[in-house]
Amino acid sequence: MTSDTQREAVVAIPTDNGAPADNPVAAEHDDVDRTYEHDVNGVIRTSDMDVFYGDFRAVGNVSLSFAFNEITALIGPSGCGKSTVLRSLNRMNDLIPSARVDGEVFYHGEDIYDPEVDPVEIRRRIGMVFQKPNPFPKSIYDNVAWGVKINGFKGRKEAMDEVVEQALTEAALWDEVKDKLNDSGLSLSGGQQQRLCIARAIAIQPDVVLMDEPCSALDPIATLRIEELMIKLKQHYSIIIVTHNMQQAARVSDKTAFFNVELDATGQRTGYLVEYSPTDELFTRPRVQQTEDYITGRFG
Amino acid sequence: MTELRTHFHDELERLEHDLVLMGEHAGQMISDSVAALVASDFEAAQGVIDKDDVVDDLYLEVHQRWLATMALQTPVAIDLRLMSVILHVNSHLERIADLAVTIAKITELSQGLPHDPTVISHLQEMGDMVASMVRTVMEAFTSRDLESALELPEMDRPVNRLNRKMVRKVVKFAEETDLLEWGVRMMVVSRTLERAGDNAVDVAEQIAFLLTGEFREFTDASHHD
Amino acid sequence: MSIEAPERPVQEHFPTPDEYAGLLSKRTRRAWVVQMFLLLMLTIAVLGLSILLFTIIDDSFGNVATVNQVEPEEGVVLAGLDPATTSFGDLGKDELVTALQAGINRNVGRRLEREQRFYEDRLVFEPQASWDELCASDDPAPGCTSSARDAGNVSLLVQEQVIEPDIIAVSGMVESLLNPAAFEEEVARDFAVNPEKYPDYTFDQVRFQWRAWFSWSFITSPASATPEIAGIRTAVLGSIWLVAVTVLFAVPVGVGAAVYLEEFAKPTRLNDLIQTNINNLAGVPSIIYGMLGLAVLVRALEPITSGSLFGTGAPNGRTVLAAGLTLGLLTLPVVIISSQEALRAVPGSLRQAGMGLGATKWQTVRSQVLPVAIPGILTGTILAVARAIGETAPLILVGAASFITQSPSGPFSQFTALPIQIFQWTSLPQPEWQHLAAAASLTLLLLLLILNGAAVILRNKYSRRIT
Repeated sequence: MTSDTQREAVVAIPTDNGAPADNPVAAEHDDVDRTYEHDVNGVIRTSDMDVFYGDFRAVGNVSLSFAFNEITALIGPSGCGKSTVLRSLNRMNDLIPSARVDGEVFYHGEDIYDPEVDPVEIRRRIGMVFQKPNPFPKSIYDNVAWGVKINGFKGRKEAMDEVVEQALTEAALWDEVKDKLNDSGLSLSGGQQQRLCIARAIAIQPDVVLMDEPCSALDPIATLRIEELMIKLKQHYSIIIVTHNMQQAARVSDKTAFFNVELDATGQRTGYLVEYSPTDELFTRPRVQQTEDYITGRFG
Repeated sequence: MTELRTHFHDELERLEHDLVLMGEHAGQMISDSVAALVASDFEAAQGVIDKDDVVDDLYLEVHQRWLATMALQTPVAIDLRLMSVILHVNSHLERIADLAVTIAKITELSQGLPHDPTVISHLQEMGDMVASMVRTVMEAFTSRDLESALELPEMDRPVNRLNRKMVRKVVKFAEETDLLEWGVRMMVVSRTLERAGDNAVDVAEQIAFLLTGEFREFTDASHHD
Repeated sequence: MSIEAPERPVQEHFPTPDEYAGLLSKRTRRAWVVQMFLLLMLTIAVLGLSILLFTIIDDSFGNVATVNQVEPEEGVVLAGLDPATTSFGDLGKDELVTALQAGINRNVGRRLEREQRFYEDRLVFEPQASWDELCASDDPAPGCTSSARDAGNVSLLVQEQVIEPDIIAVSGMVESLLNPAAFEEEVARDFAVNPEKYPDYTFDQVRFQWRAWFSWSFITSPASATPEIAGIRTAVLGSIWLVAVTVLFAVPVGVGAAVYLEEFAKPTRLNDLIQTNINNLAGVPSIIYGMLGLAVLVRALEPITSGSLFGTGAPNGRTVLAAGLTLGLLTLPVVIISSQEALRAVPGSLRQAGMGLGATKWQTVRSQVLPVAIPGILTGTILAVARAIGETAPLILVGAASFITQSPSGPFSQFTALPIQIFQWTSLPQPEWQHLAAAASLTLLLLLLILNGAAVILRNKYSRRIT
């Protein structure tokens, strides 16, 4: 099942060794330098990815390359499939029985939807932080240590202590919890819980951290803390974040992908990639009118 | 398409409207000041000086509201570019109005001095050109007309040429000492009109940036055209 | 917050890629083993329940070996007709009465007529004089007031009293279908080896035929001492009456109490105590409820439960009403607790939204909370009622009749119920009763299925309305 119109996204960032996607808007400004290093071989690269739920095509034709050690933001209106795209990148969509991914998702050049690939391993390498802080109802220490333990950590208690401390420090939470590591993770405030979840995710040393609207349940100060943390973390991890908050995307991300949704003749809503550009460009002079309309609030 | 930020966009429109009003005033002030100079009409010159207060008030108000809008609405994309343009155009127009005041003041200072009709006609010509540039560029702004905005450097060229001619003329006045003081003052007027023309070109650069998203200087002072 | 590069944790304790790969396959294998183990558990559960169901169904159908005291053809002769032209099934009511008159002795006939007369306008066995006397006495026979027997009823009497079919051996459904000959050989062998077991018959008289113990006539026939014609109509109707009384009592009371406890009650010590008690009552053995029913409902409240307070009804308190209320009390804690759970599952934001619009607590509960909770409440109620249908012990104590042919007609009727009937039949020694019990069990299962199905449909209807 494919939609009648195959839309072509305006991608200022090449997905492979080729030139940027040919598009009329970019052609008008052909004097702009459009070569970006890093982008040719991103840590994750999707190629013509479609995601279906049963017969329903949630997102279509997504070709994106996510750069190493950068923050990439996915923005767009509700139902545009940005969360779906995010969850396809570490096979979290496998948990939904009817979900199916067509096309390819390459992680370090390897197709993660290859039948030979174990999704368990993929998710260890590509961690995830969810919309609502969801710490385990266990101690703060165990929240961080569990993932490390089940993934074959060989060290003794002292080594584990160190790993937990490092993860919590990296997540900018250590100073606040170092005296109450045995308290329940649920006893923390929302922002702290989310940072605990980030600590938990990075403790197993992933490559990429996916964040699905990580601040939508947090207050502005907690939000700024997480944003600050993300910028710090990108030294070690590649971060892909879905956010409803355009200003957040503007503040934290290096590159932004804008998705939109279209209704086809049968009334189905399919998301598609509209524009993928460096964030500063996307927010000052977007290449596509749809992006312009969306980010300036002229979108219905 | 649904408009989701009507409040913000209304405010943007109001800012732009005030700017257009300033543009009208500034253009008119250039015309009036040159006319007052030509006719040695002190009352008209005083009128130009009084009008500057109106423009200054508008300038301050636009600036104030611009700051508030910037802080409260966090504009992006075309809105952000428009905001940037408004800030720049605001100062350029205020500058043009100030330049008109300079001309009006010179009218008073050159009272009773002997004068040269050729110079007067040159200045009148320059004044008409600059006033027309201001009008053209403000029209290009309201109608988002890139073509018209790109014409501005062309319109500025004769103004620059006349200004250079003025220099040569005034140098000649050195031999006729009774005309020298007046000549020097008229040199300042010519120079002032040339500056006003440059400001109009700067406004045109801003409009081009608004419409294309790329900022380029039309003329470069360090590279002669 | 300063931005500085954090140091990476000690690397040597993390598994190398090779180690990780080995570990991963080990973990995957373990996950598979556990999954298979869980599947095994499921299989055991399904197998156990299947065997139970199979046993019941296997016993509900099968071949039987029957000997008739009087062959149906002879019954036709008794009715004064020619068996060559008429079969027993074609006989009308008058002919059946004639056959009955010819086939049974007068005293049995009089007893039958006193139970229920044959015709409205004339008597068959009883002389008119003694009938009038009987009906005028202080204790008139039921036949004095009840309506006349219909043809089906008389036909049953003829079968029971005249033809007197006697099932001498039975076999299960699977055996009957796969190897019917084995059963016949077995009966023949039994005749040969133990002739003293069958003093009245010869093997030639034995008829082998397929019999569905579970059949429409089984469900619609009243109880009988003769297994061949015994049915469970009285028990089915009794159970339905009981369920009706139970539901009418337990649902409004239980849901009401749950709504009060969840939505209105303040957390006082008294309310805590009540809550604790309700939770405890849910675990009390049903026999205790039976004792309570006997002491309070049957004895102390006899005027009410027997209906004598309202001028009608039974000689004592052992009625549908008393038993239904007992079962109602039994299910009440479960209904309350499950309703509370359902109400608790309704998001608090819904209540706040309602109250935030200026609605009273009751308006909010009535229009916003209850509709969302109803599917859950129904689920709990279904489970509770299903339990009540299967209850036997309290009914025995409250006094379900062990043998009754009269169908219950109201809350003050005497009654029996399906589990009682099953219990009684299983306690009888002859094998045919076991098959009847199996058929009755099947009926009980179907009744439960119907009730559950109805409730599920109702629940889905409500759920759909919400979402």
